[in-house]
Amino acid sequence: MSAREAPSTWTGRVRRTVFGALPPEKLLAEEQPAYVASWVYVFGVLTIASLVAVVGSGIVLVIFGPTWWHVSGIGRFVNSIHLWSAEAFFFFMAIHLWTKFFMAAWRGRRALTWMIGAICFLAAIATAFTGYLSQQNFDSQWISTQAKDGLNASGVGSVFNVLNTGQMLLWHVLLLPLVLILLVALHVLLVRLRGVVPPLPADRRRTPAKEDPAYPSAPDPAIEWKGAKRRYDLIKELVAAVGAIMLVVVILGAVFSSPDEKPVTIAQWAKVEPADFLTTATAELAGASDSATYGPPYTHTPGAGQNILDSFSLARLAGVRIPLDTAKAFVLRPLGIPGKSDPALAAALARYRSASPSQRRLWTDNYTKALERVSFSAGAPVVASGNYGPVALMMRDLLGQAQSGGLDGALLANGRFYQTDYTKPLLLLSDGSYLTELAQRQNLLGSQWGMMNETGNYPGQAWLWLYTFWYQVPPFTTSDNADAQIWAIMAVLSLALVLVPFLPLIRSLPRRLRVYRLVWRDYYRRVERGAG
Amino acid sequence: MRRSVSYKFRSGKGARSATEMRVRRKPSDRRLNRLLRARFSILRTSASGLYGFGAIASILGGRPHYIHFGWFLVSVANLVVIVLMIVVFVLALVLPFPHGREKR
Repeated sequence: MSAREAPSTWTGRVRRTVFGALPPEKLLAEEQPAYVASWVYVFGVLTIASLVAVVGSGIVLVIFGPTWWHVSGIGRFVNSIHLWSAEAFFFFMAIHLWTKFFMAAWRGRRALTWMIGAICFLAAIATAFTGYLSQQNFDSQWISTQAKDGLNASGVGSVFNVLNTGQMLLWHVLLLPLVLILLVALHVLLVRLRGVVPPLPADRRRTPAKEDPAYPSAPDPAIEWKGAKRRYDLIKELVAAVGAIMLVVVILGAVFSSPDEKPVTIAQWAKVEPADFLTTATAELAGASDSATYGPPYTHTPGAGQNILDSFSLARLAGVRIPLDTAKAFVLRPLGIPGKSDPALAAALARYRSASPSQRRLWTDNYTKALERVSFSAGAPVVASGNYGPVALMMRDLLGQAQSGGLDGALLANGRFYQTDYTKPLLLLSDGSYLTELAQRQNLLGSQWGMMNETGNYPGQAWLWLYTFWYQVPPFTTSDNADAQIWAIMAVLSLALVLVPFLPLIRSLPRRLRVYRLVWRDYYRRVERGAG
Repeated sequence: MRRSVSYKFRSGKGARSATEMRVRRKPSDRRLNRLLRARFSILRTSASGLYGFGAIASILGGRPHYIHFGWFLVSVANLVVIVLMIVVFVLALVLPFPHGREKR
């Protein structure tokens, strides 16, 4: 086949299209336009270098498994590098985004480059979020119990269950990094394909009559730059950036380490605050707890599930995908385990099961009221005498089971050997007030801008500032549908970020703000000097 | 009854037990062992050194420090990161960039 003949195979067509659009000398060019002369251009490569550090440290963590970093000094150090490189990734990505906005970098058929970059930012947020959920410490417990509400309200929670640690870990180490890396690669290829966006046209009043052909005053962003160029070593810059970032994150990791507050167990809760545990467990038995009346994706509670507008609810649309009967899941089934060898408990359970709903409600209501004045003798609850039926004995035994650690195991048991789904224990913990009290001390509550915060004095997810901001202002501070409404707002704003090149008012802001004059000041100086 | 057996691979002065045979290796292996021990010793020292940094790490692991501005609450760590981002951005805009040789 001659060189000019069109290839007849699919492979040939793909080769011709790919290498025709992006020949190696363009992909790995050794020159770049002379106007690329500002420090703002280093943030893109620093973002990629940080991603290399994130992926590298993540691979080491994957090799040694999810619990390694909790029990090993070296593991903790590698996790610290992972954390600080993730912080560096967002740090430089945000600045890169700002600079590209002020340069109106979507001009000249570069809208897709901007859009892919913005999607990278959103994908990175999702990847980091699942990373926080996979830590297996107090922070991940709290984040998962809080994040579930937003995700459930948007209907996503029925498929993307943040309380299922195994699912989140797989999303974090496989699916989302894969998507993110592919998007970043596509973004970089588009940058190489279209070239670096040229400066906005110079001010005509300052432009001399005789232009310097090496510095045209109004370069067309849609065609390739034909003006002055400079030598440029892409690979050297990348290697230097990776080296610099690795040095910084290794120092930060060694000096500041990473946070790792121990997770809360149900045993710990039942020992430290037995009254709170009993009140919560009784509410679960009565079907009156938050989880019992949550609505989709857990229960069929009529009218439950947050609305975005009027009575429109994505949560109800998604349906009940993770069915939960709190009385059975949190009380009756776990108690059935010791009940097999305890006749008194077995009889109490049988009596409760055979009672009418109204009788059960009377017992649980009476016991809940009695718990307001509960005291403890040798670890066992002591309440005033009353008509509690078998509930008092059941709750006493459940407290003992919880304090011994038996309930932690019973709630995880799924009839199989391996357990990775923590939906039940986390829902039970979140129904009590103990977890909330601990989170409040660490300023992690929603009303404390908690989504941005990390345990201790570590920097957290500062990039979630806008999301957590809405929870601080009316009407969301008092709205029953705050999660659904804020998710809807953030979805619209995220879409707006992606579509900035097409939004009339927003896309004209860079020209008005004139920050680009600082970025390309050398270029404008040369243009205004003119030829000769 | 279990019989006590001592295996001898050589007779006389140079005789060694099976256990000895497993432990004693040729000189190059011993050098490798020494090297590996030294390397692992470095690793162990590094790990304990990293724990030694605990005093500094505890600056970030201790009681949380937050700043309140009315309804606005921000951790000192997040504020430092945000301010640093703005400073780095401004510096990148205003600092002169080293120029390479130009081609026309």
